[in-house]
Amino acid sequence: MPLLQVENLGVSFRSTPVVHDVSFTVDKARTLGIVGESGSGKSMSLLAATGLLGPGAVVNGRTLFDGTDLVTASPRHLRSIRGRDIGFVFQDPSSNLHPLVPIGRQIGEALTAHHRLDRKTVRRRVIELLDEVGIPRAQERLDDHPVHFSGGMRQRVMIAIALANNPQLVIADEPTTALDATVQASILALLRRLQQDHGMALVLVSHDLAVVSELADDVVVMRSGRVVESGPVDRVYNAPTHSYTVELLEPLAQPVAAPAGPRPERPELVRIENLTKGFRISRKEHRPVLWDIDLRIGEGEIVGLVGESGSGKSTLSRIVTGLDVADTGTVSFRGTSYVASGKRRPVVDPQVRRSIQMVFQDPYGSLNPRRKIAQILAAPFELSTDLPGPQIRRRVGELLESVGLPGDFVDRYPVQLSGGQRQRVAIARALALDPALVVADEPVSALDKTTARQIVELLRSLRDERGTSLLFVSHDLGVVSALCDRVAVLHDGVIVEQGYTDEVFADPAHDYTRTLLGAVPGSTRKETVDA
Amino acid sequence: MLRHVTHLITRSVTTLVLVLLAAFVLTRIAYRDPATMLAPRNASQEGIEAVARALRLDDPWYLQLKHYLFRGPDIQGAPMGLMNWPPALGYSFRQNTPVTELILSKVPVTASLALGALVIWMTLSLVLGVETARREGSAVDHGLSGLAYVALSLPTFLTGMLLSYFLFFTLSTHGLYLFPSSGYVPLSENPFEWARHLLLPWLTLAIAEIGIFQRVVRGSMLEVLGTDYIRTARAKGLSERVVHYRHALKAALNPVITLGGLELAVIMGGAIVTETIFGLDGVGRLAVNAALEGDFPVVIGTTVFTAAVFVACSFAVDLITRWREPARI
Amino acid sequence: MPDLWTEPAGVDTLTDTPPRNGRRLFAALVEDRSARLGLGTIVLVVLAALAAPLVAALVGHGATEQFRETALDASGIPIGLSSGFWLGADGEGRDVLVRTLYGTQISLLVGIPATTLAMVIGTIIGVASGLAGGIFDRVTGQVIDMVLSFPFVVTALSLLALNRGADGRPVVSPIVVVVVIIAAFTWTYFARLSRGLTVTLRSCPFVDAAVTLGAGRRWILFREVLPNVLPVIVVYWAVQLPASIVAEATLSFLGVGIQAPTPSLGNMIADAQRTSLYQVQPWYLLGPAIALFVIVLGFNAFSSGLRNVLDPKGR
Repeated sequence: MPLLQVENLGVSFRSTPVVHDVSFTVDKARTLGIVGESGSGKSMSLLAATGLLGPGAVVNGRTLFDGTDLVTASPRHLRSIRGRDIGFVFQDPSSNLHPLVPIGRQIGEALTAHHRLDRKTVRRRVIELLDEVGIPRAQERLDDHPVHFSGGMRQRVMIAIALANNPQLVIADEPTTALDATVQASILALLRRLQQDHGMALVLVSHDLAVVSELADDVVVMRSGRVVESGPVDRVYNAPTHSYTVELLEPLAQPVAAPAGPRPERPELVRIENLTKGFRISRKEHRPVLWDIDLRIGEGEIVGLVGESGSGKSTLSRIVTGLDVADTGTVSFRGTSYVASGKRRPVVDPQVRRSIQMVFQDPYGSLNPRRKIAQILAAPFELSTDLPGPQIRRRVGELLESVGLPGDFVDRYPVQLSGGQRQRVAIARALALDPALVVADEPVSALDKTTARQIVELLRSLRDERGTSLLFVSHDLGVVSALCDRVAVLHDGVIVEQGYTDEVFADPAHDYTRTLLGAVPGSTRKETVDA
Repeated sequence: MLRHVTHLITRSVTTLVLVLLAAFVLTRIAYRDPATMLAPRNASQEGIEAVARALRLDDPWYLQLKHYLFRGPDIQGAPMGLMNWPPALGYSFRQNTPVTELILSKVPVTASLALGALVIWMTLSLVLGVETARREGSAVDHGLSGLAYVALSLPTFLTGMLLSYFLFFTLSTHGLYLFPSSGYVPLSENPFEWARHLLLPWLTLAIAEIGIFQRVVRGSMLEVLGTDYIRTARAKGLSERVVHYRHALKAALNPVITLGGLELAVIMGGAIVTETIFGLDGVGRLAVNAALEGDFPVVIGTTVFTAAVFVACSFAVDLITRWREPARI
Repeated sequence: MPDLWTEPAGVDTLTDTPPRNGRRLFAALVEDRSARLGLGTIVLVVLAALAAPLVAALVGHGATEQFRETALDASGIPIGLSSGFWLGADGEGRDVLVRTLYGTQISLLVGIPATTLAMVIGTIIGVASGLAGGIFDRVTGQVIDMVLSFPFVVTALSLLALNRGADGRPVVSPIVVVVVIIAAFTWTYFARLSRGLTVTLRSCPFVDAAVTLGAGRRWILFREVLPNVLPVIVVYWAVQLPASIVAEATLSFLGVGIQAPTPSLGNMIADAQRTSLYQVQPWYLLGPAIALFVIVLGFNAFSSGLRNVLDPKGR
């Protein structure tokens, strides 16, 4: 008999149906992956069934767990199951744990919620769990708070909480999405090992098919609240039957191949030399963020800047855009240096300013919420040109068209647009003054795959049609390999490797690059399959 | 941490100094002819001038300030300015006692009033706030929050009068002398009477504060209840009571503490209205009477006292808030 | 001193509904239950205040005229509800209803200008402080700390004493003085709030975007920062307004604000309490008390509704 059996599950939230007629099963000691994009309802189904969505959620259908129907179970019964028979791992390590309670107590609480145990036993068990999930020096760290741990470590604590009472089933909802690639790989490995050691069933929810393919035996594909396909993972991935699955399985874009003839000569547009920047923490302490950076961007070239969080890539992109100053070194635009070093505030020649524009990472924060799209897109013209009103309006219309948005969006406010639409407006704004270089800081990280694909195509067409250079900052190697002519790998503030993308990725020279490439999920499973 | 504390102390001391200077200048400008106000009724011109001389009221203000700071009133020949030890806040023109002594004698009353009210309003606001947040949108929520609204809309003097009317006057006409109408009994003398006399004033203050704090607690709780870590708490299988009172409330307390410190300081500085209605001889009444009579050393003294209390409370709130946060490495 | 500067700002007010201005704002306000109730009450209050001279003419009693023969009986007890005096009379033989209406006028005439003045001064200083930073910011912070430390009533008293001329009569109209005093104390709240908001906004990506497009300080202030600060400030204006009204009433109650014979709801309540005549003529007290309560409740309800509409994610 399967451990978890979901039959015709439907969920309505605030009288809007979000999940329709979903069915799947999970067998003991097996792993089920649920994939879908955001809004597909993949998380909602299980959260609703276990009572974690609150009173606003109306659930119908059946969810049999070990014989009991969770949908009709009393809240009390559900509470006894949660944390004891079913463990949970959630997505965001920065907000999953109570910031004010030491982690030892947070884990201990999971134990005492279901068993009467004395303090010593609880303490012993907590240390055991921390050891098991790979937290070094567990005994000393019991009284530390979540803020003292890195993202990966916090996720391990979360896993320890999930595992505390040896549950039969663990539900992991996007457990590695918010983590860097290298950390992601280690967490997935941990989950696999724990599952083998404890023999528990695992449901892994993710938008990332590669991640799911690492661990899952069976997979369910969801879209708009419905299941479109399900089956053993090998079959679904190698021979998908539904068109949506086919679409999901397609990579974001084809990797750039080595060129047939000689590589095009590109005159220099922006040159960064010996750039160093640090942040002052106190009067004595000075933390270096960027160290001796040398980077060149040619006209019409797309350069990728790859690094994990904390590598300094955002700082570098801000300096190149003229929003921050460096401590030492120069950044020149067509031969003229424009970033003052050692000063407190950036002073940039207006001509250069217009030529270097930025697309920010956060589509929500980069548009003024109280201004209409018309005003947001008119701003570049009002600030840097003398064009009269009607002409500005015309140009705004052209801009919207060039990013594929309908003209009547001018009257909308940012809050009425989706993340992808907002990002397109941000790109349109960056293009308004026909810049020579666009610095894009993680422009597609927060977006769905389909939208991301469109944005990437849009960016590529910018270079192809207008000759605009692009500095593409990202942690996603797949996108970088598809879009960028050259790539620079940034690690702890230092560029460890630089060169043509196809060459660097095919045969990386530096250890760190190799680690990054190896950490891409799906690569290890392929190895086991091939071996 | 140490650097922060030093920074706080510097700021607090600067504030106090500024307050002192400002109060001094203010009273000096405001009371144009204090000698006439302070001299006995039918004093002759020489009498008034004698008063002015004795109190050095004819000196320019900076000399008066210097005198205030360093020399002070001559009490048996010993210098008693603010800069000496013990610091003296001058000498009341009217009552012929050192201001410090005057203020200190009133502090127990005001402190009893403030702290007692604080305990009452905090406990009730926390419970009301958590329970209304828990039942957001329900009839109970609307009802209780509405009541808090009403409490918020009642000025203190009105609440005090209404309470006095209903719980003292009406009851006493029926022969039930549950609450006294006025007066203060020191704690050391008779704890029961102390509480009995303070009950109505406590309620007066507490009702107004509950109106404010219930909303703050509820708002803060609602914000916290939407976070991921509360979902984790539920995922552990904890009861709703534990989730709300142990996890959520803990995270929601910061704005409550900050505001609580502020309000406490304001009340300590003189809940003048409450003291007036219930006949409590506290710092507030002392200050108001002094201001009405032109006794400006007392005015300056109470102002500095109030500022000192405010500064101390803010300092305490800052330290408490920092202490609650996990220490950064 | 707690860092009162760093209050959380409501910048991430990306709610599900677009910002509302003008007519849509009004429509939204009418729809919200609190705002509707509050707005209705306020309209009533304003009408009542405006109607004061009309009513006075109607019943033939001025606000400060005493009618000892008709209103007080032999032992000096004032008359209750009657055809001549609709809410009865007070201890001096004056018409309670007329005085209550004029008192309402005073409450509005003091409260609204005081709060508005505080808002203008406080916002200017707060935003400037938030944008400029540095020494200016620190000095302003220190000044604000100082002002906040001053006890309200006592200082108000001293300042009112300033207003006494050589002959003991006020130099400037007491209304103006009370307005200035209340504003002088409450501008600090606006300053703190707007400074916190400005500091958060300053580091928002859309401000960075404006900089890359060539925006100077003026553009950033007026086009990027202020449109986000003003809605929150306006909501706070509505929240602070009832507090200012209560402040005026309290000062008058203590006998130091608006003084008799000019009617203020505060000094009327004080009179009633002092003479204890309300025990036989309850409307002596209830008239002004209910009026004051209704005014404050109305503005509180309105401010709550305004917050729901303009700044839903706000605290």
